[in-house]
Amino acid sequence: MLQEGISGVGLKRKSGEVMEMIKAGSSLAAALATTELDVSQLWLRYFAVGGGCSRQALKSYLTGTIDWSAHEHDVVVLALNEYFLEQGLDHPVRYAEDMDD
Amino acid sequence: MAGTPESEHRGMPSSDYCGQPLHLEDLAGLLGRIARDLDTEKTLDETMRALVAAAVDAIPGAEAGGITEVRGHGQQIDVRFASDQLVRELDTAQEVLGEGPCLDAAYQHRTVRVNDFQTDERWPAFAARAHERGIGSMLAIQLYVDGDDLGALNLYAYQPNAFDDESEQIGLLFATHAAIAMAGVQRERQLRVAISSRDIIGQAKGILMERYKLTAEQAFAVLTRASSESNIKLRKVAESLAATGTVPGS
Repeated sequence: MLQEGISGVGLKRKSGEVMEMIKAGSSLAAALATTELDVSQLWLRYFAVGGGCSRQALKSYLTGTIDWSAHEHDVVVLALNEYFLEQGLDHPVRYAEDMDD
Repeated sequence: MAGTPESEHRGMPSSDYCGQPLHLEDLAGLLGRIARDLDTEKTLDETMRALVAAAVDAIPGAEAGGITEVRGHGQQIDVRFASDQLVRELDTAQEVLGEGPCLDAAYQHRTVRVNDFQTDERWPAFAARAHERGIGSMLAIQLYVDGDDLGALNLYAYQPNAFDDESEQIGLLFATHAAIAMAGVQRERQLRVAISSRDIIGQAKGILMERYKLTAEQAFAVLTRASSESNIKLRKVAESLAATGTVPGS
């Protein structure tokens, strides 16, 4: 059974592998706000590159209501960066794994 | 025409509307017909074509019709579907003349009815052209808003005063259903593309997981890094790996 996620605390999957939960949705929400995309459009792009969570879960993560795994966070980062690339910009959103030491 | 807030007029009848009630039995049958005609199994093109045919058939007074897309604040008009060539000509004329009921319907988010082109003074150049071509009256309904692109459903009749309140009510029902159907078709198309993309990315992850004994997340990180270093989209990186067995840049 998963405990309430706290940033930095590892949680175990069924397979025994540790899954890090983070609460960094607000940084993604801020990046999203600089685009013309709404959450539904972001979700579709996130889904297209392999994202596994529902649209509602994405909304909850962006508003800070729930934690997500660092991996799913990075899938959203990828989706956002690909959008920026399409606009001719660099990929400005950092990946969660790059934020760890 | 003075600008008015969008919310006031969208989905509302024209200024000629008198408030005649629509009979409920007719309404139920009509909605059923519209739903059957606007099947989301069809492509968007087929759906719009079916919509025009259904609208011309169901809207009292309509003898010809079309769906027109307006872009760049009236600079560009694209007649998407027309029941005949005359409709195409008249809709396009609005672009050349820079005026017309369809443009107003699209940009002022309202329903526009022209009861008699001979006497209507709102669009003198367009009215003259329509009258010349034997058109007596017209009904223009805003169909959809897609970013800066706006769509309108235009109905034409050879006689003046062919459209009444019932025409407007039924036209507005069509517009609502059409908007929902079109959104559905578009959503389905987008999901299909997304699923196809997920599938190929999954294949690429699987290849890396097996080859290098990685977890799914680690494989994803490898692909992401290859993508951002080469500025190639993840899907393309995945396609390349699945096709050639190698990751670009590795």
